[in-house]
Amino acid sequence: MEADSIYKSYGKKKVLKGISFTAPEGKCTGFIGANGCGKSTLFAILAGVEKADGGIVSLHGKQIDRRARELSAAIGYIPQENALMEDLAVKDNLALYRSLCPGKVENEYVEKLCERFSVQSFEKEKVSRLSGGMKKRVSIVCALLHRPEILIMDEPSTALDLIFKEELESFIREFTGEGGSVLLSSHDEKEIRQCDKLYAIKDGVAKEIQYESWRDFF
Amino acid sequence: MRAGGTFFRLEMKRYAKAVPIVFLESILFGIMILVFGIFASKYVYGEQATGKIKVGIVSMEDEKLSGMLVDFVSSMDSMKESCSFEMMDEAAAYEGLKNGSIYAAVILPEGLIDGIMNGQNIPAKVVFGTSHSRMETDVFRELAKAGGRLLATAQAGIYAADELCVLSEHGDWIGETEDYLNRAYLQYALNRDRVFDAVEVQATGNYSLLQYYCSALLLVFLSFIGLTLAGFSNGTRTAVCRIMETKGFARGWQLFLDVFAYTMIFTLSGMVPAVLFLQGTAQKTGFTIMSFSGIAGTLMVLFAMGLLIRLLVMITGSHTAGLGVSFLVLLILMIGSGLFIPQAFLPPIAERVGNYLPYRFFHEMLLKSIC
Repeated sequence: MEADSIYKSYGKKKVLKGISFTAPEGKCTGFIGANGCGKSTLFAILAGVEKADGGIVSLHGKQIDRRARELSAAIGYIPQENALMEDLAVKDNLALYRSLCPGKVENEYVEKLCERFSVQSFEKEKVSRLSGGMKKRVSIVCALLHRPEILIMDEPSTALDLIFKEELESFIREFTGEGGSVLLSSHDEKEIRQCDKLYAIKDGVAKEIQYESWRDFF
Repeated sequence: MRAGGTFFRLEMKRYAKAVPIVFLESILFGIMILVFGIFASKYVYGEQATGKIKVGIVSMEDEKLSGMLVDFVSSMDSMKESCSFEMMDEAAAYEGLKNGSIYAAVILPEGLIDGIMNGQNIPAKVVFGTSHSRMETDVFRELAKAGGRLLATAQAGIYAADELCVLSEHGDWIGETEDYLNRAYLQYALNRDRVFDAVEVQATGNYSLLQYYCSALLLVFLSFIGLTLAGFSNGTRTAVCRIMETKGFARGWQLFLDVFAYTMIFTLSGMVPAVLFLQGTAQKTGFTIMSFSGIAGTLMVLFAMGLLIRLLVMITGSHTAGLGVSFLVLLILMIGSGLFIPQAFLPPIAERVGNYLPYRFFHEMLLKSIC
């Protein structure tokens, strides 16, 4: 996935001022930056949820519209706030996301994902009654249901306990190992260290940095 | 299409799950409003807010004669509908005025009847109490004036005839003429049934006061249920809706299914209190909900009302402030449509506008289908 000169403003506030980056296949690309620097906005644009004021997003070298089916089919997006229907049970949310998938999603695959993120134990629970970590795990499962090739994760480990943080790290390794791309933003040092490529966002622009030099950048 | 079906089913489920909470909230709110209303009406109108205007009659002369006079006045249509008279002595009348058990005391002076007969017209004294609201006092004052005018007209006619008899040198006809005129006035002028067709015109149209207000009360209660239920709508700017949009599930389609799911649940769940209430009051109101037209009409009213409320909440938003604005708009629509006060009592412009307000149609349609 590539992005070239992405611009975004909210009113007079210019959040992104021409962000460009490349996220290679089979790699984990990390984004760091201070709170409010525009990481979530950038991810929302990449996932097609937000509309950029300017710039190009390309997938496999081909420029792509934010409403294109190929984009939504290729991307699994886990936003910072959980994209779940709070008044409904976990299994209802899974059913909804399953119905949004372009093809048929096998029961075994769903069960496997639920097992992997230990979601099956609270499948019948209402989302509003779950803890932040549990909700995050459900969000991850929902984002993976359509077998995306790119995973965009906005601070995925927030609220997760240590065990699931480790589980997520191992999943990311596995996912990239199978050729998938991961784009993640994080404030977690361990998570950042895991990234193959790292971008720091400051003043609306992204600069590729080495993990060791992230302090210098800020 | 598959996503649409699942989304619709889940929205229905979500709204259905909220129904018990909505009912509980609405019942509690209803009780609160009812209690407030009772206390407010007691404060404004006193204990006898719904009773007749009680008037004490003090007679200084022959009680039999003045009793006849009171019977005559109290038998007048306007009086018998709104006033009740009680003969009492002067002390009891002043005591009644003081403690508020009567609204007014009419003190009939000595020679009153003779005065009426001979044209002297000794005035009766009417004393009003101060412990009641101004409205009852004004009503009784107007009724007393109307009665007085009626009597004066009759007297004028009789005396004019007497004078004509004298002028035409037929003084011996006076007695017979007076007898005839007295009988004629009582028969034609006082008994309005002889002069006018017996058509009852009510501010509530073709429906009784009880039917009108019971159906209005039901609509108000159902609207509150609808508004509370609409508070459970998510809107389409939530993260999940935005993700659905990226998957080709358009925002307009989401909105349509959300509104449709809400309206269906509101219609179906609203039928329960509607049927219970209409059937419960059927004996007194004569409502017939258990018929094809009753069920179909009520369902249609509920569907249209649900649609209106949900669309309104879509505009104002389902957050607290938005619901507050929606409540205010609905309240204005209900008042304008005459749910609280019949339209006939509203200012002419409000009456004209009210004819085009949705609640006017809902009310009319509900009444037509159950009456």
